[in-house]
Amino acid sequence: MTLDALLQRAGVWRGGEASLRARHRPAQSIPTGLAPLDEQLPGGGWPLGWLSELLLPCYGIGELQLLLPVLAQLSRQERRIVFVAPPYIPYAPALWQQGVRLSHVLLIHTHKSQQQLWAMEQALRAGVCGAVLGWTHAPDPRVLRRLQLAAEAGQSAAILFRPTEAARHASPAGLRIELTPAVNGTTVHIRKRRGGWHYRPVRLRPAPSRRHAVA
Amino acid sequence: MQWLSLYFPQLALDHRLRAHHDDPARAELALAISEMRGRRAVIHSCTDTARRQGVVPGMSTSAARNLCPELRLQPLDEARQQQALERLASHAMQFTPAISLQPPDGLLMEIGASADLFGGLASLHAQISAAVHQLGYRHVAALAPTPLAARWLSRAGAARVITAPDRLATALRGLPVEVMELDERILAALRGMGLHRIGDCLRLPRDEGGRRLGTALFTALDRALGKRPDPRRPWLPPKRFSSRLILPEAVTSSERLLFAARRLLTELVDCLRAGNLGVREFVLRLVHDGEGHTDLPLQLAGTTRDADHLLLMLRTRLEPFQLPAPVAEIVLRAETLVELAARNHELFPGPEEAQEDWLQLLNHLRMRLGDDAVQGIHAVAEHRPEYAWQVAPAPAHDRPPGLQRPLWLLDRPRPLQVVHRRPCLHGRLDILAGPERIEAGWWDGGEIRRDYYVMCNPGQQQFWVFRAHDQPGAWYLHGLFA
Repeated sequence: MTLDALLQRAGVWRGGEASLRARHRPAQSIPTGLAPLDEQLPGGGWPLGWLSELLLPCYGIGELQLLLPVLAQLSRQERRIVFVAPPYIPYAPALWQQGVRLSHVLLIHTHKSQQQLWAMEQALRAGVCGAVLGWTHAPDPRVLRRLQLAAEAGQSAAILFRPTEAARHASPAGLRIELTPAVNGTTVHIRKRRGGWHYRPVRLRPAPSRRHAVA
Repeated sequence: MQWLSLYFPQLALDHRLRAHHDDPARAELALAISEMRGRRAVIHSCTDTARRQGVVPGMSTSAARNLCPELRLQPLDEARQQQALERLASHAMQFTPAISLQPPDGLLMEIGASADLFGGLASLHAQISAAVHQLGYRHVAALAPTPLAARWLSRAGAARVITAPDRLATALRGLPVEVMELDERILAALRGMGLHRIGDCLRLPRDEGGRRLGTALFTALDRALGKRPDPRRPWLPPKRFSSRLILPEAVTSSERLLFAARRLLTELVDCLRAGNLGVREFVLRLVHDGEGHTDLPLQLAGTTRDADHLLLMLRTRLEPFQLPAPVAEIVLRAETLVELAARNHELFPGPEEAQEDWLQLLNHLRMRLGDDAVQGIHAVAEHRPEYAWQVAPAPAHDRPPGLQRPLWLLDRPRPLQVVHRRPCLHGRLDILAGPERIEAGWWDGGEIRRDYYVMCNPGQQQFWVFRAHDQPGAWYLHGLFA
């Protein structure tokens, strides 16, 4: 078999192929404002039309900080931001400070995980939401696949917050990012990115500037 | 002027049969409408199955029952017949605004003015007939230059199309005098004189005939031939909607119920489209077998007349609903219909369309999850953190900013464990920033005096923590810096 014939075969995957790179590139990306991270993200920013996972050991380590510039820009583009089953109340004055248009934010509170996933899927498919953030528990791969398809259909960013342990299980998500808290600031590490490999960890600055005071 | 007359020979029966429209067993149904003729109850109209067993209109109900024991009889209800006519008129409004009701069993519509929009008279005629047929109403359609001539032709069962006024007399000549809907006394007199066809009446000398029969006959003939004006009052669609559907048999599953409710929704949408109206709330009443009823109110986030959207709303409302008892009848009622600005469908959806999609999504979520589950937020110019955010029923407008704040807020402050006078949460907390004094609310009884700190634990979680002045030594967690 000649090389040309071999390359014609459907099962042959070529790493550097332009068409392949295009498929692995989202239609639109929004910069996170964190330049070293943006360099490593597909299209130079947070991908719309993809399912992404944020893996974290606990809340309150700067996980929203990472997304706020993206949410702010989406809301300015008249696209809606939906929080499905957030663990706490997203504090309106803080969102406002970061430039998120509050009139474009919607909260959905429901305890049943089936309803949470249903709401996420509906919001993603509607095509009017820029980002749909979900804090839902233990979705199985089939459900994740549905979210991925819904995100593609509505060209919105599906963002799931999951515990770090979830990294051990495979996921159809196009992007998986792990956050690790550390004394000198939370580290952002890309664990998986569709159409890419070899990542460097990036440091996220701690939310309020660190200074010492006496109680 | 081109008048299309729709004559519905069995309007009441077809209206009653709506519920069976998609039912394959519809053809097997032995059903008849009875009416009182003097003191005798007679058959007004009946289904084909009944007809095959020998039941014919005009027969007494007792004779019909003997011929066909399983015959279901329903008395003729004029109010319901009127309702059926209005329903058909709303549906026909999509073709022309000039429609007048011809009770008890007909519609007259002037279609000459809108013919060009629908590809000519013949095409429009065919489209209207097809639309009415699809609703499940048997009808005869006739077209003539005057309303009365069209009406008479259709009543005679002649689905004719006459466009030239000079051919009217020829067309009407052969029709029986009964189609003229004159007083029974005049008809009897005509028959007594041996005049059975309209042509016979046309040959009558006017003076002589007028003296014997009164002027009504000649006025009608002149109007039919276009020699005398015959203005018609156009029908206006009502600003509220109510329609009921008797189910063929008691329904126990919400899936079957949804199927039936879809017919009523189509009627509602027709009515809305006819009047360029929209609906924001409506009630579906389930009338139970035996007695009692359940009302299912539906409230939408915005005004709409999108049939698919309304159906989706109804589905999300009905699916989780447990029917308390079998349902025999359903009523759809919308008390207030509101004007909806006309909007053409654009090739590329603009911001307006996006707004509509957003409202649809909101409706959908609220319907399934409940109003409380779906909230917007807005910031309030208020120092006390508990009051500085508020849920809004729907996303409100933007408000001015406060100070540097955490992204997650607890719905109420949680007391922290204190070890050696230091607050702890998954380990001892270290101060990153603070204190910031927040002292407010003395004016409304919700007074607070607190010192807020940003603190972090050994796991590097950052918290918003405060010390209350009225509780020395006590620490509270109020937010997380996410």
